[in-house]
Parts: sequence; structure tokens; C-alpha cells
Amino acid sequence: MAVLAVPINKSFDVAPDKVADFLENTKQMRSREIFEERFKKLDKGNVQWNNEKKN
Amino acid sequence: MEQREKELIEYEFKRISSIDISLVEDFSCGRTEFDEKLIQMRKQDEGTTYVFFDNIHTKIIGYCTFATSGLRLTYEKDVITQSAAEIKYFAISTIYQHKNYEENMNFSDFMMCELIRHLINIADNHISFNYILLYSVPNAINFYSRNGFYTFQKYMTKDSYTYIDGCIPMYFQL
Repeated sequence: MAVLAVPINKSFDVAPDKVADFLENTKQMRSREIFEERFKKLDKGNVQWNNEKKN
Repeated sequence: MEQREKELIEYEFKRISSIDISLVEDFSCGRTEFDEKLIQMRKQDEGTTYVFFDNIHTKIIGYCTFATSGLRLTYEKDVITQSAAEIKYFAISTIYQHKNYEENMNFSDFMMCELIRHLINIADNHISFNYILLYSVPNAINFYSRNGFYTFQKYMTKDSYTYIDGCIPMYFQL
């Protein structure tokens, strides 16, 4: 996969009947925690990679 | 136990403006329009573009462009816009695709980790925002899901949600 995100000029609008559901679900997310763990684990700027490509 | 060849990659996360144009022109992610877009953004950025730069091999590993955005909560008689950053582009060179750091973690995951770290730093120390938004290409849904993003289309009104080449809106809460 070469390109993972693309620009699309479409706004992110939560529908009126879905705002409560959106806010409730968002409270339970752990997005940031996932990365806090990774930040601790990975050394920035100097990493050994497996040179073998997975297909 | 299987021994795998290891390669040291020493990289930096740098603004596109600091990269020599000849190195930008050498970048190829396999999609010409996105390679050309990077050359164009070296001259005139469409947001804030950073590259992941391999210092040992002097090559661009990948790039990302982000910009300010908003997530709108539409009530019956009101609209509240919550501040956000939107990842407009995220692409990786064909040379570095599928290289894995460890099981289930490719270089693209590591790039995303650096980008999220950078955006969290901006949100915590410079300009606050609540979400990171993006449109994922269809094949990258799993990549974003394992990186803390959630699909957004179930919260949109049907008439406002249109597939554009199958791309999927996704969000990450800070």
C-alpha cells in the first residue's frame, strides 16, 4: 500500500440524532493510550528494521 | 529460531522545505499523482508537510501533510464545531513498503506513531484541538484501526456521506 490517506473536501458532520451516541462512544476510546504505550517502547530516530519484505 | 537480516535505518522527521529538490524528485510511492504532489508541496505547501527522511541512505521514506480542520456536532438548532487536525496525505515510498519492525508493525505504523506524537505535542503545547481526522483509502482501514482510529460514517447523515472512490472518513480522539 503506497498511499494511505487522501484529501477529500468533505466536512466531518455528526448528524443531529447521532450526537449523543458519538459523544458517549468517544468517551470510551483509548486512542491516545495506545500511542502513549508505543512512545515509551520505541526509540526515536534510530531503529533496526527487518530488511526482509513481507508480501 | 529464524534469523532475519537487520538493517539500520536512522531517520528524521523533517519539514519538506528543508529537503533538497533532487531528493524530492526521486521519491516514488507508486502513484504518480502523489509523487508529483510532493514536488508541488516543496514549492507551495497545501498544509504542513513533513517527510520521514532516511539519513543513512539519503532517501525520503514517506511523507504526510496535515492542516487545521473541524468536526461539527449538528444539533437541531445549533452547530458546535470542535477543533481538529486533518491528515490530508500519508504516503510511503515503494522502497520502504512492508518493511516490518516487529510482528504486526510495519514502517508505516512507525511513521504514524511519529506523526501522532507530533500532533499530540502541538495539541498539548501550542494550539489545542480534540480530534485527528482523515479519509482512508479502502485498503488502509485495518492500518488505521490498529493505530487508534475509528470509522466515522455511522455518525454522519446519509445524504452527507458519500463514498469517494471508496474512501472512508476516520477519526482519532486526543
